[in-house]
Amino acid sequence: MKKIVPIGLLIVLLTGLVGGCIGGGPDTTIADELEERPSLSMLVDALTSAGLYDIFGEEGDYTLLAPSNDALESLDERYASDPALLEQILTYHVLEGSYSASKISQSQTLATLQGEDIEVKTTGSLSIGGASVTEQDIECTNGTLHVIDAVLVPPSIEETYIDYTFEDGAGREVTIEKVPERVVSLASSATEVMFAIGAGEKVVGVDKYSTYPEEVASRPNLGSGSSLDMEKLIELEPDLVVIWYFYGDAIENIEQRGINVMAINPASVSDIYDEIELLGTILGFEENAQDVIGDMQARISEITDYVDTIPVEDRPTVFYETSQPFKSLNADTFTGELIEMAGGINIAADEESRYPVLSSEWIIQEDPDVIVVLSYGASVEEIKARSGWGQVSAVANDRVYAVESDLVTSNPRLVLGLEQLAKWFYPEYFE
Amino acid sequence: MQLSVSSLNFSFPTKVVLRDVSFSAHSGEVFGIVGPNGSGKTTLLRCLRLVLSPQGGAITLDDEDVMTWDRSRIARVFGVVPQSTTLTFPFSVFDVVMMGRIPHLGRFQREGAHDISIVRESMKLTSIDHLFERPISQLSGGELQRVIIARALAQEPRVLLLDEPTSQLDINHQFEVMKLVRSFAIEHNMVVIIISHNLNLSLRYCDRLLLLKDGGVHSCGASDEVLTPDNIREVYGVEAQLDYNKRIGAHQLTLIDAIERD
Amino acid sequence: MQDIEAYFHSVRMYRLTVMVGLILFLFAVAILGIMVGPVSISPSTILHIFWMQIPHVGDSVMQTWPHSYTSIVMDVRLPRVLLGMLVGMGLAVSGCAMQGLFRNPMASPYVCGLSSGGAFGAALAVNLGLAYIFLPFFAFLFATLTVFFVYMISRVNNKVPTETLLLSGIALSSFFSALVSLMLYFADQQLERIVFWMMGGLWASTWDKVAVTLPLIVVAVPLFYVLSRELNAMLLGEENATDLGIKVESTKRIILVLTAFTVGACVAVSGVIGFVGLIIPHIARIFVGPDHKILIPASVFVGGIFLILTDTLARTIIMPAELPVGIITSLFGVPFFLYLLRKRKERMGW
Repeated sequence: MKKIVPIGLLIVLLTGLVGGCIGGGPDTTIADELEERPSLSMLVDALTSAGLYDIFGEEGDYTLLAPSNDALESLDERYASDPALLEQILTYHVLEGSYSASKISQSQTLATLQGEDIEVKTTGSLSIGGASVTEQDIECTNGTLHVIDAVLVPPSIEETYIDYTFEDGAGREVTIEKVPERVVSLASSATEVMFAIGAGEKVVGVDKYSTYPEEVASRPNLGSGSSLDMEKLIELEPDLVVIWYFYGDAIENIEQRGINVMAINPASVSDIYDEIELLGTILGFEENAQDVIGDMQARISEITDYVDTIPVEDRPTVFYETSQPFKSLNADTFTGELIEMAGGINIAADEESRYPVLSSEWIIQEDPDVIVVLSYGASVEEIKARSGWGQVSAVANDRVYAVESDLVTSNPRLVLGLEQLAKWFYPEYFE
Repeated sequence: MQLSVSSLNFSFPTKVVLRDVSFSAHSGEVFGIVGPNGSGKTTLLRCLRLVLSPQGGAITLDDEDVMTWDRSRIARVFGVVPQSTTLTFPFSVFDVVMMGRIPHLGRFQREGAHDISIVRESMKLTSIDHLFERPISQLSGGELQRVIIARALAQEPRVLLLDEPTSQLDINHQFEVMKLVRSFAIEHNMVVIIISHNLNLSLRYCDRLLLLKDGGVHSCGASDEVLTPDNIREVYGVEAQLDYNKRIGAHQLTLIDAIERD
Repeated sequence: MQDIEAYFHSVRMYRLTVMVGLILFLFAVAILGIMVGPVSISPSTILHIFWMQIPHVGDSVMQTWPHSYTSIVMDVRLPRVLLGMLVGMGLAVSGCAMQGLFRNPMASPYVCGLSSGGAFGAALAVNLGLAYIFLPFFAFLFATLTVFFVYMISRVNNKVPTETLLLSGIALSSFFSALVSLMLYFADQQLERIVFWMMGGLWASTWDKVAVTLPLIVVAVPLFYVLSRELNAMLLGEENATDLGIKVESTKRIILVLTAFTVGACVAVSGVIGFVGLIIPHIARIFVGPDHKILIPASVFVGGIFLILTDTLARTIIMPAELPVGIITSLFGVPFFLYLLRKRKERMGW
């Protein structure tokens, strides 16, 4: 919120003081005082249209913190255009009872008619909720009037209207005006993150790949980004849809229906931290998000700290197989990063293709110490039975393992995957 | 040698095609089958060589019952020139004529000198011996028809069946083929049965004719006794005049007009 | 002008030369396939490894190479080259027979629904959560069942018109493809392997697979060869063939059964490798003509050579990674085929 500081602040303050002291008993209402001042004309209009003006012409005892025209003009358009919001904001400027400037200075907070409190700061000059007083202690028959140089917005409204702009995983500029309350997640990673940071209540619909945590099962299933149940999505009235970056068609389609879409593309562990932080920010769970990140970092460094003590040549070589036989992944992939963090030497790390299909004989020659296969790929028995693999160290030493795909992809549970990998790579240390 | 057919019946599930057909054809003569479209000519020819199984009647060659023969034996006796032949793949003339030897070769027997000489003879008879290396896809219609006839001859048949061998040909080739066929009957002592659409060619080159109408025998006998104006009227509904042509030494028909029927 | 007899013998000589050439070429290609790979093993080591396999004699060999080399040569490369050869042979000979049977140069060994039937079987095995050894078994079972099903529904009055056979094959193919798509649509990631399997490849070659395929090919190829006269005659039309003494319907049945078993086995061990069965017979035909007596053996060997060669390329071109062999067969095979086709057209007008 911008604050306008008039140049002749001191002079105006002095004038007000003198006026207040010299005059005898007040004989005007707050309404009269407002009418007299052209610099408050916009406030009069606003109060009138909100149906609040009349009370200031009647008997009573109020304190009105009157924002000047300049202040009102710089009020955010989103608030100004919404009558309900405007009414809340205006009542936030009214205090029950008459408060002089000196009485205000002695208070920490002021209870407003709107219900929320205003904070008062007296260090240096007097600041009421961040606004400076430009004309104070205008005594009236039904209360006191102070002119201030900024519009005060209730914290509850400010928290909701975050107006946060960022670049999403698909390189699109996304602006979140209001904290989303109904989120559809078409990306399992985001689903898990939202539940992990405690924002699971806001998740009203998920894709078919979102299966964790268990509560997800109770949410409507919308298919996937490539086969989206658009009718159900519209019916759910989400104010935000989170989706994988590669579903370009779905992104466009949802966007065209006026629903905010945010694409995610977490390609590394640090991207996951960013994703958690971002979702924390826009959903209003910053602190939880920081806790989750902190916890992850602590558990990860427990592993990496140990791995750092192992010389590279003593680390186990690893062949990682994805869902398709002989198909591995290189160092530029998410799982590739996890393997390295867990202290494994991925034999396919330097391959040019991100997901290379490797020659059987080359794998035999590389003689991996550990083989990890995605649980829905080939079975462990199948791998052990492969022609010519009997002599491979991992097979000979019975170190072929199947890993749940959810644990080695971009979601907060990657920590579990990492711990699992570390146990397989360094059983004597991590068991 | 005599091929005899008696009381032959054949019907498809929904249609009777041949009823009580009887005739006999002899070696040394050209026996023609004529009749309008749909009268059962091609079906009759198919029944003769058991490509279709007749539902009654008898077919005998001299005293042998043809209907008890297996495919391979039939192929060793009946040479066939069918109405159409698929030519998607470019076999050479030699290859196609050599196929005529298939019924004579055992499953694991290779073609030998004897087979080659028969193939050569067949190609000579049909005057295509100069074409033997050519792919059949490059031949003219007349050449192709002679290749198919040569293939039938390579089967060393005792009975030669031809289903409208001249229908796709130019007039000059029609004469060639008919003369060729006639020479087989007379010089090689084969039973030759030929379906023809061309009544005048039949009058000239066939010794005897079988006139079919609606699957039954309308008349059978010497050519000029079968294709009489009365019969032509009854079977084809065409008014015709039959005259003896001294120049060619055969009867010829002059077709005058279709007779309006009610 | 050449005499017929001389022509006949020159054709025989030419065919003999072609066959000897092809057999030698196959040997050369097989040796090449065993020699090259992402792991470079010297020819002398490979020779020693082979020598070592001979009982008694081999005991004297001193092993001077890493033990993994023996595995690589004996358990990876050799079964892979052999399986590639067998699958190439099986697909080519079946393609050849199907094109003859249907008198249609566009027919492929998969024309009666073998590929989609096999894919359906494989998808079913994965969907039912069966162990991996069931996958090839199911693929084989459903591939062959599909052909018999196609045959049964095409049969009218004990006869099977080839047009009906072709159409019901195409129809049933589409039906099974749709079923596979349906399963893929609803199933989770597990079925990714089915997609991979359908691409076809020899990456999972084992001695077991060689042992299963070898007898089938060894039996089927001579049987196809014995039927070459029938196939020749049937190329001129079924009535023509009948008049040459051929039992057309039983020939069809035998060819369908042989194809079902041969291609079913190929599909089971290597997935759906496209192109080979369709184009190899044409490539062979360009060199030896349409006569099945030479076309069948030539296709068998060209098919074997072609698949070994393309598979060797597939596994070495981006070493140590591999490409699906189906991509290589089309990528290198099609331009080669088009080149031959053009040359042939210039020469023969066909």
